[in-house]
Amino acid sequence: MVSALVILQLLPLLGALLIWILPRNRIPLAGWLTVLFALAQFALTLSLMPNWGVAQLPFLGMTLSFCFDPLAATALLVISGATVVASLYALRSKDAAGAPARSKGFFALILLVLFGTSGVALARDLIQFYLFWEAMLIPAWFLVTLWNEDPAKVKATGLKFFIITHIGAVLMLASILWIYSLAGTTNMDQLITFLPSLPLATLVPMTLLFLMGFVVKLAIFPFHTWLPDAYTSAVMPVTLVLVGVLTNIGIYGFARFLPFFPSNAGAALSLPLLIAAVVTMFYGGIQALVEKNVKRIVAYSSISQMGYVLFGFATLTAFGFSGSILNLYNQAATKLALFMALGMVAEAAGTWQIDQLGGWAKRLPLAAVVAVTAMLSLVGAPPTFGFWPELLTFTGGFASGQVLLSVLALVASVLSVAYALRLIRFVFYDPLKAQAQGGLVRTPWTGNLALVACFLILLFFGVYPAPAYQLVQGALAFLGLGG
Amino acid sequence: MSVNLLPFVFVLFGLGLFCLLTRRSLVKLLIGLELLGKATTLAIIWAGVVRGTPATTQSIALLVISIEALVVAVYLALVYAFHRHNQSLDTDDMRRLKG
Amino acid sequence: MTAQLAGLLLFLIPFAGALLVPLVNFFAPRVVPWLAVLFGLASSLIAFFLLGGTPAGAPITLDILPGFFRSGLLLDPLSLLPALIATWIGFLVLIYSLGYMKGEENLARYYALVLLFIGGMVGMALADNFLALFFFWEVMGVCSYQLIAFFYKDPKAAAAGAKAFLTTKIGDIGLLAAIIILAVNSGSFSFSVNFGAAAGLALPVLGLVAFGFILGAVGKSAQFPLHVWLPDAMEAPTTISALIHAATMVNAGVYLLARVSPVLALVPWSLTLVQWIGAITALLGALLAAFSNDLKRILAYSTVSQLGYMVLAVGVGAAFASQFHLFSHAIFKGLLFLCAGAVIHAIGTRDIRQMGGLYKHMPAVAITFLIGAMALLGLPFLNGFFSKDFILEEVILGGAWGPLALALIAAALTAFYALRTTFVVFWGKPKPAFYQDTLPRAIKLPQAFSLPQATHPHKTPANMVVPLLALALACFLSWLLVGPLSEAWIASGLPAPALSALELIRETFSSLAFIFSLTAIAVGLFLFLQRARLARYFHEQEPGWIRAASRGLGFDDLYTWLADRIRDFGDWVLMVWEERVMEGINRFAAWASLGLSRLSCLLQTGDVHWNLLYVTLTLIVVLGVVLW
Repeated sequence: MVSALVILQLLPLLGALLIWILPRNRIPLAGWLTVLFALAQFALTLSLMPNWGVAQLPFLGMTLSFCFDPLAATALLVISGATVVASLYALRSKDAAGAPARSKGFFALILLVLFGTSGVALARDLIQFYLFWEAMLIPAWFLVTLWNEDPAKVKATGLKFFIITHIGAVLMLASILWIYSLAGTTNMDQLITFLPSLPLATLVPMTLLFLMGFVVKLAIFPFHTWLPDAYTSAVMPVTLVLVGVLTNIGIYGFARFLPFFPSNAGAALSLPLLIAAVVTMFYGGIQALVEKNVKRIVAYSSISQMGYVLFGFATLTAFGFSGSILNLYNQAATKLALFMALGMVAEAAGTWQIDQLGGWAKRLPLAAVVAVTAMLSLVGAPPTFGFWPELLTFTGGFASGQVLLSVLALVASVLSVAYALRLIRFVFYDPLKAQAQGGLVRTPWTGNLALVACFLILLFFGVYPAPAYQLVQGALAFLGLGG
Repeated sequence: MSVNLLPFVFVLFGLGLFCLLTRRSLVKLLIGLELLGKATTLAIIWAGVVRGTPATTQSIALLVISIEALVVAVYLALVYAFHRHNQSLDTDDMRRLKG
Repeated sequence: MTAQLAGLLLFLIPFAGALLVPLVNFFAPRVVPWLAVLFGLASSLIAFFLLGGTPAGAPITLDILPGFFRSGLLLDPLSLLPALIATWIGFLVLIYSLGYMKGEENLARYYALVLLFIGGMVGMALADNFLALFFFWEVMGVCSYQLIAFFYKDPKAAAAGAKAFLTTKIGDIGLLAAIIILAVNSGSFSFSVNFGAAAGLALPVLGLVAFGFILGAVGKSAQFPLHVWLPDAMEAPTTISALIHAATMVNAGVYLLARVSPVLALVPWSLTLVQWIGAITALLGALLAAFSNDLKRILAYSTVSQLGYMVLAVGVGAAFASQFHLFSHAIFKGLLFLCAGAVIHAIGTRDIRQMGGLYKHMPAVAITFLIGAMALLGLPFLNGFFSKDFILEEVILGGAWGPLALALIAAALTAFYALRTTFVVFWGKPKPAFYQDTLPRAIKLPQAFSLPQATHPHKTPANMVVPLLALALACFLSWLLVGPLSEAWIASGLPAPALSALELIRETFSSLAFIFSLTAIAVGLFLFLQRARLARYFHEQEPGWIRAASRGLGFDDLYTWLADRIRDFGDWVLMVWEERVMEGINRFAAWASLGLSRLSCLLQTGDVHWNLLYVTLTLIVVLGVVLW
């Protein structure tokens, strides 16, 4: 068990090292190695699946503690799958003019992000968790700043990304140190018995500080400003990594740590978090409704969707939690599909401006079909995956007794329909703009493969969500939330 | 022992410091540095005399002197390189670390 | 085959078709339409197993969310009627599409979505729980969005699709809220459990639930005030309009209201609300239909109006009457739309002011359209007559006099617009200037039955005429089914009067409603005969409400205005809040940290003497600290 988990943890790092010793010009090989190692991690997670457990490993005088439970498995499946998709897309796609060329370091950094996030998913010790959290942010920062489509703004974007996400990380560190000063340990299994003995006045700020890291990562209002800039100015594959890997690890963090803190602290924070979630839904939605840049629209829609994720967690009910954990899968597949489909359009059209697009369903039918499906999943319409998390989230809302906020959340979903329809209509429908006339656009097969994979996931789980739901129920049982 | 060397050490140290802070020639800075070094060496020896362990402190002093010789060599090498590069020995010409 | 299995296949077959059609399209695009028809045929044949006499069989269920939600099939007359209508009318629409859609682009998408649409309606009707009902309900919403926007290159179609989806979504959130509140209370989504548990809920909560259900039905069935999407949905291919109006989608809302009527009955005000919504919608739809000049728009408003009648029937507690009318309406409205499709197909416009005298060119279409229109206005012995009178009778029995008055005015207007449309299009003065050169002299009945030719302008091909004849025949006969229908309802414990066809005739002709509706038809006929004078009056006086009526009474304007305000608010948020305030905070943070770093840069002179001075000062400070 120990060796298997260590291999699971180290696979992406090994991949990154292997890419490091490659000759400088073997860029496609580096890409394929990335795909291979992420896929290997995905397969290993699947094969380890029923063998849940904790493994201790002495290392440099401290004890590393890895935990493989259904929640960690969920997160690993999603992040490694998303890395596969992102690197498949990265293999053949072209960036806008002005963006720096890919190098093998690009792929190595993607694997390093995966390494950090895997560590976050597996950590059972707070210090270890924090170290991997940093280990994930730093390569991500390099990816955002080095492979950027917008050289004029790259400094500001990078700084914003770095400072805001690190404020979150530092607040989390503060909470960890506070816990350590009181408990004398950072091992989560020991803390679970210790934390309930603390007074509520200590627990609430402690919990809030800790969760701030995830709040920032999910880009909850008012900590959202880094997200649109980072998503928009980074090249497409980096955006895919941000969307598929980093955001989802924020969701994972909530799922892991909100039940970790005693329930009275959670109960005290429930209402403020719910309100923040609803505000985020509306805020992101209304921005997505008026924004002109397609990538920014999706970025704001992502903010709005993260409002739903937070809403599910903040209800503190088993329903809400299952909805939000199910959203780990759904958000990854939906957002990756949407970004890839729109990325193909933008690559062919050479612009991200919504008023210069239109009618692309004719020239990119596959992208259109997938984008419409992803859009439906985004707004929670069956027969796509997005319906089930949304249903469970709202059920959680009503079950927690917050009828008014739940109704507001439902109303916000009309807003998401509005922006999603606008997006699809002005990109794919309407007449094709004169300068964009032409026949079918040929897209690289690797990108198509990634697109179709996401599409099938969205449809399959949309019709039959039971396998994913069962894993989520397993995760809830491990978190002590029934199920 | 009626002679107290400590004031002399301080004077020597102060002279070295003054030289370091006010002179702009690199060679003069070396002289200031040497003055500081000599003051320190003297202080070490005098401490041995006061505490009654002259053998130990004298051996330390010998070590210090030999290391100083090395420092001087390296310093002069640097000064020589700087001079070859900039045709100057003025410290006003070495401001590359300005923030 | 057991009834359960048949019920399952009834929607799985269209779904399988929807899945297969795009795949087959890769290899053999030419067979796609026929393949779709085949799936439609299979499904409509399976439907016969559900008609009675088939053993029910073991329940078929599927664990969707294990431990929380298990879905199954509910086969009772209330659920079977919409399902069978969807299957059979859907099949006719598929056949009709063979000719109508010939030569269009993206046929695989079209046929896949039509099959999905039919399957969605069947699945919605046959679900034994609210969640599956909602799932398929939304599937239909998605299909309608995609099909209305099928000609996506036309901005009007793209906008209409989006409008339909968004408007029905507003209703859907009400429905979802109602479902979730019930489920949270009872721990289950099943109808039977929830109807039992609903009585235990507090009245305010129950009121919220009832309101949610009504909102959902109002959105889906295009009732006042959410009726605005249906007329715009006319941008769809006419086949799709027929499907939406007769077989799927709009029937769902009426079905839902009939299904949840046990819950509505628990909330006193909710049935009154339903009555008034239905009556207002009936009147509004008829009024707007009377003032429209677009053939499909007239039919669309007519659907709105007829759905109002059905909702009104549910509101007075007569679910059976509403379903009976739903059945009649599906037949005659399907017929009218398919006829309209033939007309539009032939002359390429939808404006009835440019039509006239088409009887000479397409007599089969004209006669069948006339039959449909007569059924619509309620001419005795056509199916619409019996079902509409049935509803009016129930309204009288229910004592809802206010709604009754509105419904009767609506009936008069219905008679007026039905007559007007039929006569203007098929018997009015031909407008040769417009279409003589585009219309071949030859569209007469014999050639109407000949195989379609790919030449433009279109003729009415046989596979388009056959469904018309079938539906026209059904207009005469479908009301005879009232006997078996009511028997089946009573047998499965649903509230329905015991009626045979003969009793229906006797009851209908001896009731007060008969006199009322004859009067209404007479008034309508009078209005129709006086139409020249009316037109002159309206033309000269031009009262304000007439202009409003021709613009949809301002509902569209109101909603557009609201949407614009929301967008303005969004712009404001983006420009002021996001760009100024949020970015301002970021900028301030960046500016402050940069300023601090500049300040500390001042210390870094790069001058060796300053550095030495710092070293010295530090030494002194450290020494001072150590010594004291």
